[in-house]
Amino acid sequence: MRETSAPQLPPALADEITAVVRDATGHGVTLLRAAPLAGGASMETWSLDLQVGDDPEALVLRRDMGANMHLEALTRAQEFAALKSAAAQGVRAPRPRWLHTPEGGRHWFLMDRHEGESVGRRVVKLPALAAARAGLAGEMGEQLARIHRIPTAELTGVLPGPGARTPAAHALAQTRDAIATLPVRDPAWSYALRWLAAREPAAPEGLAVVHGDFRVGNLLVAPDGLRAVLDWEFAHLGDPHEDLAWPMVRDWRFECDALRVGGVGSPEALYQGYRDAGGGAVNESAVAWWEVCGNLRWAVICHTQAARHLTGADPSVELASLGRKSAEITWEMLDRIKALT
Amino acid sequence: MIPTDPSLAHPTAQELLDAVRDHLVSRVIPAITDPRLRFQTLVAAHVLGVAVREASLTPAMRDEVTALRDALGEFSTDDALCAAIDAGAFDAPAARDALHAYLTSRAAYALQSWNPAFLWRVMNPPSE
Repeated sequence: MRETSAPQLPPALADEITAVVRDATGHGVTLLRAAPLAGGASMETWSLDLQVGDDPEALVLRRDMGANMHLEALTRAQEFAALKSAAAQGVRAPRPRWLHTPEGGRHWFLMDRHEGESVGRRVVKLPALAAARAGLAGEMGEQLARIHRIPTAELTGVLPGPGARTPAAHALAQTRDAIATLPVRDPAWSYALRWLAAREPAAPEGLAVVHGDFRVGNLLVAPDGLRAVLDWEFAHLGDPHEDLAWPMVRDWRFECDALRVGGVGSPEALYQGYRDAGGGAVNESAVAWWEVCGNLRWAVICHTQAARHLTGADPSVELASLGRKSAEITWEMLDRIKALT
Repeated sequence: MIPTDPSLAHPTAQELLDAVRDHLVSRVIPAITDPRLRFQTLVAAHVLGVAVREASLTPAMRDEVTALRDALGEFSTDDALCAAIDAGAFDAPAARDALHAYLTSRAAYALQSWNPAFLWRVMNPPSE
């Protein structure tokens, strides 16, 4: 059989990138290497090496895919702004470098590339990362504390927020809206929505910048620990407990079920790291609520993705299969509800 | 329903699906270097396995789920059941428990074909 070779960076895009960086820096720019990264379905990601003047630059390109953006996902310009604020607050996040938002074209930005492992299954299982895993939950807590201290004033009007609702009520409203667009309704969703609506946590004292997808799988991990927090496309203003709960959702434990935080550590270690780095008070019943809510949202997202295939908008066996995957998440959601009722 | 009776057609549909799955796993996937295409093809192989397992589920397994649903009352569609839940018809503890049991068994049924290993894990958690 002939090898299916990796795709090449389109020459027009390579020209666009070198021109943008040349104009921004005033230096000569050469593209040395481009390799595709396994990215999400709404984004194209590449690993790029550029020569900029005398300096080699190791970069990642994040580029819009086109029309099939996730409803709640940030634009590249918003994501760029969030990364900038995060870096300024000392969050370990890739430094954003150059943003390009051509009118009528696909937007992209370049950010620094860090070495490490991001694939969740490998982070949880690779023997070489055992020492990193031992401290990872605490490091995750530390990074969350920094993220939640990003001054919201910098990003008000840039990031979406809950409007007049509490973050919890907003999350439920968004979930109901997402369900309404689907061709199927699962009674488990109605059951969970009713359970959640009867137990909504109060509004937090103030809104915080919330990463929105903070979990193993979106963290770059090296043998010496957490290198970078990636994938900021769901950042928003909300309740910090949402970020503390999301990495505990069972699907993000990658089969190491007993370690409730991402298959690597305990909630106590996460909270300890959070408190030590100056994070606010943790209300564990609010975390538990957001964990159930996280499972519900993830189950609904799975069906939203399957619908993209089923309607013909975006034919893909990967998207279709997510509809069936939701059974795992539904089972877990029901199990959590049972444990908490 | 996929015919599985070898006297009607041979190899059976399940054996054919298995053959395609083996082909993808042992011949196609090792030759793919594009990481995205490779991942998508792994998913395709998994999905074929799901179809094979689903065709082998017994009617008795299905009947168990149906019985729990019938115990909830007359709901011919999921939409009707959702509307009743939304209206509070299952708020009382006994009704809520019956609904919970039905929803759990329905998820477990789907897991038998999608991911039996997951089902085994959650039914047999590691002892503390």
